[in-house]
Amino acid sequence: MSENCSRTLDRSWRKSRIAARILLRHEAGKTTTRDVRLAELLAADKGVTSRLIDQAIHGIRGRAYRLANERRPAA
Amino acid sequence: MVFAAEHIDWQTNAGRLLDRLVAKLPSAPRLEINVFGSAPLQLFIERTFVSEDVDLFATEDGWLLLERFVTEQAWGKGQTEFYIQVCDPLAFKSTFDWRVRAIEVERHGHLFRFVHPWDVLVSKLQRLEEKDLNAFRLVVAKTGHPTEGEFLRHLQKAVDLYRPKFDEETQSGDMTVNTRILWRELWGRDIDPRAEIIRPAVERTNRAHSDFDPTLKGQLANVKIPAAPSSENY
Repeated sequence: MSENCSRTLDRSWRKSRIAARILLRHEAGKTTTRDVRLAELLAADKGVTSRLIDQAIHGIRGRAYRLANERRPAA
Repeated sequence: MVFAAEHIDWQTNAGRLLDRLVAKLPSAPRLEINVFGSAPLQLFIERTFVSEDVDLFATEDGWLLLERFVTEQAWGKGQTEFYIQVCDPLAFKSTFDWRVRAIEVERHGHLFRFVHPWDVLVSKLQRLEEKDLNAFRLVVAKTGHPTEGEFLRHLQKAVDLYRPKFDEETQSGDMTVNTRILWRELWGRDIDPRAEIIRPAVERTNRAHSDFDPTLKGQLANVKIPAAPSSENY
């Protein structure tokens, strides 16, 4: 894979993570004007896909779950 | 049948020939030699299951070296009655995970990888001449396996063999037709390969590829600022 191509793929992944965070904030009723503007841009970006957003949502939730478990004191 | 290295019958024709081959091969480079066709059946299941040849293939790197060596030793096709056929690594087609079941044996510094009999049978199903059908009958009669259900699941792991052939592949047999013939012969019923082999395998693949919410991007386009709480609610 060329360096240029790998950078492009990486960008899609990063944008999808931003999209995922916006959707999570939307779900929590905490979106801002900036989120809406970004969401419109990302929704029109062909590199941002439902599959990548889904992965990102699970990654973000998974991290939160892991951190919550680590904080829990051992019995 | 116990498909394990210690159960290989090295005193069979195939066993002796393979042993001679690696004993004479130069120790370097170390070759990985995959044995398929009838030889694994002779070595593991029935020593009298005869064949004209021992089919094997090496890695892409070792292929020419092995082919040249076999010819030099006069063990090749047309050079002796019971010969070694060094095949192109592309020639062997079976389940996607046949290597997991294969038995590996180190001998005289080289590695033999014996293809599991069920995977041999899958490769034979692509041709299914009378001799290939006999191989099926032998394996089932001697071991009681694969059962119909076991072989159905096994063939799902070789689903790509059911794809339409390239125009250049006119010599290879038709898996769908051969599967129908096999089922009638072995299990006495008509099978619909599309319904019982292809579709379940494709559904497994599709599940793996579509395990996400396809509406997420659409939801992104509809993100709004949450409405300010109305004073009437208080």
